[in-house]
Amino acid sequence: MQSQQKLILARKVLIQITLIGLSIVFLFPFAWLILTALKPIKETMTVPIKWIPSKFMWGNFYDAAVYGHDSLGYYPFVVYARNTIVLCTLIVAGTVASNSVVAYSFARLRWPGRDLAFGITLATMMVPFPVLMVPTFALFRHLEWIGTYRPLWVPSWFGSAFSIFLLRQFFRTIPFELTEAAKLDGASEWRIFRTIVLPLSKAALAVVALFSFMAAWNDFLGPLIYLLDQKNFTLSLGLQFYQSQNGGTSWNLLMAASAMVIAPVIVLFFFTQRLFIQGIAITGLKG
Amino acid sequence: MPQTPGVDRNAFTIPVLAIAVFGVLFESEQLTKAPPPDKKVHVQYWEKWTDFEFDAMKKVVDAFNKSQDKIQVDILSISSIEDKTLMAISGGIPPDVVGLYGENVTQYADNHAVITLDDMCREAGITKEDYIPAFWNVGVVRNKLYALPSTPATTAMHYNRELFREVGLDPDKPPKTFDELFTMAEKLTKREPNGHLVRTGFMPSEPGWWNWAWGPFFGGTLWDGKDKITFNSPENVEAYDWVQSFSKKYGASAMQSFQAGFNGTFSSPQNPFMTSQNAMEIQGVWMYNFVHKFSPKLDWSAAPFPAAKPNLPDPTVIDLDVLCIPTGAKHVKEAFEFLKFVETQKGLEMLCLGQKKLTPLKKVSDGFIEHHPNPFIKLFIRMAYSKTTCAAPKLGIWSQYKDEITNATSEITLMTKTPKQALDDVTNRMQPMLDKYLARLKARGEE
Repeated sequence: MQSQQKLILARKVLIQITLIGLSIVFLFPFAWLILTALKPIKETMTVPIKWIPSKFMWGNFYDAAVYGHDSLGYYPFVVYARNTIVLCTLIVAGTVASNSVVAYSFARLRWPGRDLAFGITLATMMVPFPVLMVPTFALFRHLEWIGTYRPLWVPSWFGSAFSIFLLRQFFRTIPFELTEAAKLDGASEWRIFRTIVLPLSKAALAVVALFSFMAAWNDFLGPLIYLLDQKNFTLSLGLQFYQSQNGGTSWNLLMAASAMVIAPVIVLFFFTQRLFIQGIAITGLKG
Repeated sequence: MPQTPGVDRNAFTIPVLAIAVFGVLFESEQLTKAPPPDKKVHVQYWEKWTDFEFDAMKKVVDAFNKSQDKIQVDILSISSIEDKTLMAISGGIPPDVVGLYGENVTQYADNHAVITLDDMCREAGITKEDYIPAFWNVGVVRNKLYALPSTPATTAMHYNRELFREVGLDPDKPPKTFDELFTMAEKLTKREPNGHLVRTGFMPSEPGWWNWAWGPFFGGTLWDGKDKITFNSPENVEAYDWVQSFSKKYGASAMQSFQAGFNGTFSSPQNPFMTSQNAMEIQGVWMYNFVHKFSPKLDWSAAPFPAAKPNLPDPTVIDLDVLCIPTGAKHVKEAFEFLKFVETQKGLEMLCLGQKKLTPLKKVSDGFIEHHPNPFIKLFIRMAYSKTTCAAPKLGIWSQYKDEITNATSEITLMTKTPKQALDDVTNRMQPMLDKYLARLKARGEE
């Protein structure tokens, strides 16, 4: 009996060690980013890596935040952060609102051609973005939307195959008895969706919201193509300004800015971690 | 906790969220709202520069905007300019002026993505006689002018004076011939007993940006100007034999593993030239900026790159950023007014001094040299007049050709192929591509 307990304990220890080891591997680039952000420029790219800065330059974060103010007359980091938040809000709202309705229809309603439509929706995932880039650019140009935020957020209000698939999988797990009972009580589909299905799907909605937030927050290509005024740039696009073609890169400031750019995503993940992992587990997304 | 009967708090969630989203939507529209129209023509100008290079052009733009009251140039700094510009040109809403790399001009001209500037330049009195020929020529494709120079650069030998002194070399006498370069490099190279390199005197593969230039430095060409790839010419083979002689001397794997240690560190304080791991290297006028930023105490000098042959002195690579007007630009006339302003001596000197480069014009003011921070600026200007200048060939397939040469140079330095084999292979692969390219041009009526 004791030997069995020892075996279990040994297994647990082994698993923990493996997990800790893997976490360190994943934390490696992040630690490098944070520590580089705190280094003087001289120590930024040393080989072998000099992990601990000789002096912790907390001022790098301030310098990164006010970088470019002299030539542009405004604080680009602050302006780009505001622009990114505005865009992310619209994209997340659009993604959650549109995909949940479509997914509900695919999961809970019966209508002719539903499965075919779902198949076609999924097939759109196979088309890579660069293929669609020119036609969509032409479309937005025709609508005279180039130079505005509309090409970046309006599409999110028209559903995306991945989120639809994810939510549909989740909605299908909600017992039909629940909604049937509501129907017998005279509830409309909209009411069932809003008062029964949505409150039960918080975890899945959180996953969709977080994925779309991360995609919008980190998007580089979209803002690069569609925006025409530097004042309207987003954070991911703004990071380019920390390097010059023929004058060297301020790696410490670039990393300080990058750290500030990814901080909200990390904070958000920690706050929604439980919901998020629950959602991933329930929707069957885990590998 | 008593509940208020009849009030469904959830019922308010969606309307409240909807109102919040509408508020953000309103804000997003306000942020990208076009400014109220003024009486000026707005010229959209996209540039690839950031940081101090952008600041230098911004000053020129501001000066132009102040100089008159009819045209307003709106500059946009964007790093991946080629993607954005090509998308905008093919989408039919290009900017009015775009700053490109000199070696892209042919490709853009081939695709009719930029317009010719000959007539406008003639009218404005902008002539090639005012410019250093090597720079003016970059914008000319099949006898038509598609681009005007903005900021040029030439290359020279950069060397570490302290290391020269350390091994008993005179820091005021850098190598003048390739033989001297090889001998001095040997003196400056430091190895551990096991053969591992600790420091190199010179490596043809560092920084490795102009692998294609070794042939022209030996009198070779990359293309006969008509229909033949000439990469395997005897002069080119001789050049790459010289490149391989370093691998033979120091060991291909020893050089490879030494170089791997500072791979990707060019734009950082760990650049091997700044850490004194590489004593001599070919670099451009911009190297001063990097040294100044990352290693200001480094004792270095610049000198003409040694000559491979006595009749080919002062070899240098011509590098140039250019200004073009894309096809479909809405305000061509006004865009050219801006180009005219930039191309004045005052405009170009303001820009090039700000970017710490040389000016593409023959005429240089005393103030430009006097105020230039690079102590070797006169040398870089002199290099632009060298007889042995080499620039990217005017081929729309240059990027593929350059990649092929880079791969071949790796095979040569790693000694997996003899230079003759590697050069023959590139020639055999590129010739059919050139044939196709020329056929395409012919079909478009351009030869």
